[in-house]
Amino acid sequence: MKDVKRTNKTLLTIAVLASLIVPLFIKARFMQHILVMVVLYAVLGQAWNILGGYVGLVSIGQAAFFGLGSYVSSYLLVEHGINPWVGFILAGLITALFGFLIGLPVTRLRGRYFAIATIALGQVMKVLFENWERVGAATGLMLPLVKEGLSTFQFHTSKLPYYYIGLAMLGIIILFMRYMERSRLGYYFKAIREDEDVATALGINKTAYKLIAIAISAGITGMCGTFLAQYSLYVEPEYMFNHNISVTIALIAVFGGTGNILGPILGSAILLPISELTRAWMGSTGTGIDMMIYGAFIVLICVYQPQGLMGVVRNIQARARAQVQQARRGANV
Amino acid sequence: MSSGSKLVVTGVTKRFGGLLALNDVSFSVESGEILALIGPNGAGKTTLFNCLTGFLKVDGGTVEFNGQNITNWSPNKICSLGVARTFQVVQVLQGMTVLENVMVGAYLRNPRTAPARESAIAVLEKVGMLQRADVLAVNLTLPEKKRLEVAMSLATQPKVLMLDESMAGLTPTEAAEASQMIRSLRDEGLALIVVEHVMEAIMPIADRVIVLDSGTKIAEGSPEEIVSNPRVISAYLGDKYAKRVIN
Ligand SMILES: Nc1ncnc2c1ncn2[C@@H]1O[C@H](COP(=O)(O)OP(=O)(O)OP(=O)(O)O)[C@@H](O)[C@H]1O
Ligand SMILES: [Mg+2]
Repeated sequence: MKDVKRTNKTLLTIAVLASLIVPLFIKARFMQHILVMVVLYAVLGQAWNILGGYVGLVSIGQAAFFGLGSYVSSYLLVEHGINPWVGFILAGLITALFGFLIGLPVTRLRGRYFAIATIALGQVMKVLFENWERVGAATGLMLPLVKEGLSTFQFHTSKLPYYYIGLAMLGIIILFMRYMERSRLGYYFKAIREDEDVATALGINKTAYKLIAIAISAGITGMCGTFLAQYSLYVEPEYMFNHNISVTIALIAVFGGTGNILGPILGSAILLPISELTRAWMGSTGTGIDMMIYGAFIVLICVYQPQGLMGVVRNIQARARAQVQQARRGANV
Repeated sequence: MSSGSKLVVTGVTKRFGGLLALNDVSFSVESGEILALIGPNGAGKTTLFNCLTGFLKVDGGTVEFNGQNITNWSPNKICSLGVARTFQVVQVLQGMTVLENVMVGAYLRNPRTAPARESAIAVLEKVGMLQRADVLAVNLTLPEKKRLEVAMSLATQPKVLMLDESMAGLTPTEAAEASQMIRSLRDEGLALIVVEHVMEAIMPIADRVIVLDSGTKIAEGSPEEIVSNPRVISAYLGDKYAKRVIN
């Protein structure tokens, strides 16, 4: 056991160092773009994971929160000149509140009905913003091009600063989730996922905890929306509220393995490059090809590894542990 | 620990469409008492538990705990107040370990993890499951799951505990252990309502018995009074047999 722990710690250190250092040597803008997308979707996958993996509420409408967040900061910047970092925080707070309010009716739904309701939510938000003149309707908003720098949340010469900001977000959410896993919040989330009646019989207010989960998930997702707005320097409904965003987020988490911290990171690190590369190779004519490849991956995972990639990792770990034990037994004889 | 708690049920009525599942049921139970609730299949025992713990809304009557009217409160609020229950069809958190299951219960009184874990370990020790702490609940045997369910309820530190057929499917030895545990809980000052079909297990430990038949309370009394009550015998065995016994 101790050996396994030590190996894990070494692996973690290597992973952290690699994620910090390796990107410095990547100069191709497209490769940098892929890195940015990987960290962004790892964060989005974690936000989904809190709701879907821990509480068991499967959302296929995260784009609603994502788009809303992107519009909050962009509107504040374009119309009122408010610093995007302030917008970033406000986007988090406002989408969290929005998630809470949406959650009041929606968290009453169980299982697939919750999923369907979130799909509808994503679509409704898109139509709403397409018709909202105040925020540019279907054309959206262009963010003003200003001097690059951390204070303006804009970088033009290299995409790497976006990568490091995304990585910092990922680091913070991982720390939060480590805390959550070891606290009452995490135990209560899991209890609700496992059995709502048992949870309630043990004194858990399931509605309150579901609302907490959806608010946290929505808030983080909204902040990611601001991040992409600052990265692309424009927002439009077709882009920010795109249903593909919702599907990709859910797929990443399910593919990587839900209900644990590593799963969505693995999922993003593998699926996002595939998606970006196929999109680049196929060009705009091949719209949907990346989704078809995703689909094939998901089918494979569902058939061979219902627990996602983390299931594979766990199997390998279990085998290693068994080998260590066997070796030890051999040594004792 | 919990002294002087009292649950008073007055005229509780529950309908499922045209079916009168509970008809004007009244009784009470207090600290340091084991109340056995018996009755044939479909008598309404589980429905009564569901009504008392907020899992079902009653159509009439009141439930009072220590003078407070808790009728139709939400189940989690009722549990927070100190009224806990187990389920007839055993329900545990399958994907979590035994210790984690009990910790979920313990968090109700200990918001922080370290004390919650300590409290959960103490409960596991008490029910004799400490050596199974790290096993996933899904991998337990049925009797173990039943024991775990009791442990989870106990971890919420209830004053009233309702057990719905916790002994069904246990071997005689296991049932005897369970009886012993129920007794010691009573001696610690809990009020217990125990639903059980195994008469040999429940009658020796019950302080008082109430009998439900088709939603109506047909008898209440000491175990000795109940076993010789003609209405009870006829409810269980049919009128013909009852007449033979009595004549
Ligand atoms: N949710 C429900 N909807 C409709 N009818 C129900 C419901 N729950 C129970 N019933 C009916 O109410 C009656 C009482 O059922 P209940 O489960 O309370 O009996 P019980 O005494 O616990 O029986 P058993 O000993 O078999 O567990 C039965 O006729 C049952 O079919
Ligand atoms: Mg029953």
